[in-house]
Amino acid sequence: MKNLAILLLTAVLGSGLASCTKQKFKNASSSPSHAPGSKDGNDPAANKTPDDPKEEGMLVWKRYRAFEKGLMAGLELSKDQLCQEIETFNCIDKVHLTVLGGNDPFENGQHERAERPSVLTAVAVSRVLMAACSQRADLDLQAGSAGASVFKHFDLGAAAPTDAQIQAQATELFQRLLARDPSTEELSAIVDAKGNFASNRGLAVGICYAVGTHVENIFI
Amino acid sequence: MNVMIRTILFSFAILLSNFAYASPDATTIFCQKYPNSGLCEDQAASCNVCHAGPPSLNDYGLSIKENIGGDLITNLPDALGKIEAIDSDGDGASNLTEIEENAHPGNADVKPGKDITVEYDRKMAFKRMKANYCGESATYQELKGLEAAADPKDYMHKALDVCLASDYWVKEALHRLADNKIMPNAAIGFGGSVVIGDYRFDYRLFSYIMSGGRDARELLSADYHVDENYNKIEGTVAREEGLQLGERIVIAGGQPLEVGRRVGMITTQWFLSNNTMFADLPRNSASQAYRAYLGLDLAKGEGLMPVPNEPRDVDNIDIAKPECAVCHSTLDPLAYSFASYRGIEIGVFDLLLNRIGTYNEGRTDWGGDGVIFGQPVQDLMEWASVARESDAFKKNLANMIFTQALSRKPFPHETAEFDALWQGLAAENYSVNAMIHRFVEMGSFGGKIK
Repeated sequence: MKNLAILLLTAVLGSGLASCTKQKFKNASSSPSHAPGSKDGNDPAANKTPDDPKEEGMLVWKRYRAFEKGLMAGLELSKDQLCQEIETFNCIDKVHLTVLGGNDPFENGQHERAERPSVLTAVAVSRVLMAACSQRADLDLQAGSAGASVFKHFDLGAAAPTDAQIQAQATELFQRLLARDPSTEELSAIVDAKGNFASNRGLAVGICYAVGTHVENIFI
Repeated sequence: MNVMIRTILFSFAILLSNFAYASPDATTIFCQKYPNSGLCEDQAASCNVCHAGPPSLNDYGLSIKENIGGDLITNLPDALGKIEAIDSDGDGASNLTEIEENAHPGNADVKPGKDITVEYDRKMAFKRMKANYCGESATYQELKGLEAAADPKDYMHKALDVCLASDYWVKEALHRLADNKIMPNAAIGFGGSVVIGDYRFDYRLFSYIMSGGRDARELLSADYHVDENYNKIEGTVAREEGLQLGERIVIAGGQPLEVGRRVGMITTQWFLSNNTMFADLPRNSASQAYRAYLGLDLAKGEGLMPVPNEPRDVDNIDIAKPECAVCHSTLDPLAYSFASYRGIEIGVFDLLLNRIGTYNEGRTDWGGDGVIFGQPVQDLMEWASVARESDAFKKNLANMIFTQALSRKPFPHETAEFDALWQGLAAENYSVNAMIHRFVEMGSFGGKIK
């Protein structure tokens, strides 16, 4: 139910945020390429380079380390807190390294990184964001509203927040994850989605996920 | 070990097969007709002007085939003229326009870019700079600081200085940039099960030279190594683990090569061990040096400069056939200079004395017969000197930095910027840091298409 609510929020925000993201993903993944030995994908059109700058723009993929450190700083999480597969393997350095833009030359023989994101990059970004946002929400819930570091504009364990509180929280997340203030339209879309969540924690994670998966956090 | 040997043999077989149908004479004729084309910047056009991947022709190559009417070499100039007005790849630009504007007449994905204008966006450039050179996302506070700065350019370059001195850039990003040059393999590196070299030295040396404003030509001239604290080590370096021939095999380590025979990255023990292996004529070492530090991949038809009366087939592997000679007439002379350095040799004294990668002038009879870029060289010292002073070396450095940051080659409309990038190296004493400071001010790095 919690996850369903988050997906609904993402869908609602989609007109303003995800459609842009989707289009950029579509463009950027039109000819994905994978480093040799990639575990996560094997798309056939890997060697199509270079491209028409007018068609694909000149976007630069924010690769694994900047993506990771941006989330760590923005959500005030340590590397180990961010995302761990079965509490053992680091999501960035190990599990999703290739599709997040890295390469492992030593164990996997990947002497070059992928040139572009693959369709699985979106899945990995989504997974890391969900893990990181959930972790931050749990930590802030435990800390209580007085001790919360990121989700501090409404009580995660209490009743429905006000629109002003939601806007303040969204603004904080835009600043933390995208390094800018949100537009009026973006704030309205987030406030309009509040009814899709059964809990304040779910709403907080949903906003975090929607902002964190924004195209601006994946391409520069 | 057998897997690696098989891989090398397989790679070499592919290299041979690729050249069975390509013709360096044809690329020379192409460049004689279009000497100012960007496709001819590296002495001769690449095979991929006409080939999708030898022997397959691309659309431009097919147009030539349809208009050749006889022997390729004799009729090529006329055939090239006949198809100038045609748009072979169907991308909306004629072949001649594409050739003159550094696009690609046989690849519809590469189009002329004269009509593209770019507007520099300082904020975007700052965000890219932070992500690429610091491995961090720009923060809200940093961007506010940029907006408020009296001199935003100075603000960004001060932040860039911090990034270029960071552990991320020196010990992570530059290491990843070195991966396809060093070609590590945990199983046969330090700590592995069959140790034939210690590539930690290679990574440290590469990062050291590529950072701190040092002269990047030391990639092909350094006679020192770098320790784990990134301090210089002069002289030879003893191996950490002694010889082991049991369940675990350790036959190398440290840096045993005498200082006077070192030329940076291409004379580390790992480079010579991993590339030369058991070969009398170290073609793999030469082709990897050519590819990694000069940006010329013989397997892609790049940098072919046949030497008269070559290949001599010094190691009797039957390469006099034309389909072999097309490549080996460049590769073998390129490789002779490496032949005086030991690869993996398993004599008792070689193992006991840690001789892998050391110099042995009498190892072969042809060690002094090297040729690079058409210039005869007496030894690898001279080979490396010619290499590091070449335009190819500068272009490769610029290409490394460009593609590392943007994950792509320059677009046709960025040719002038790219040329300025490598041509400015000499004036900055080959400092990669200085080149990056210039690069982040370019439209290709921080520009948005208008």
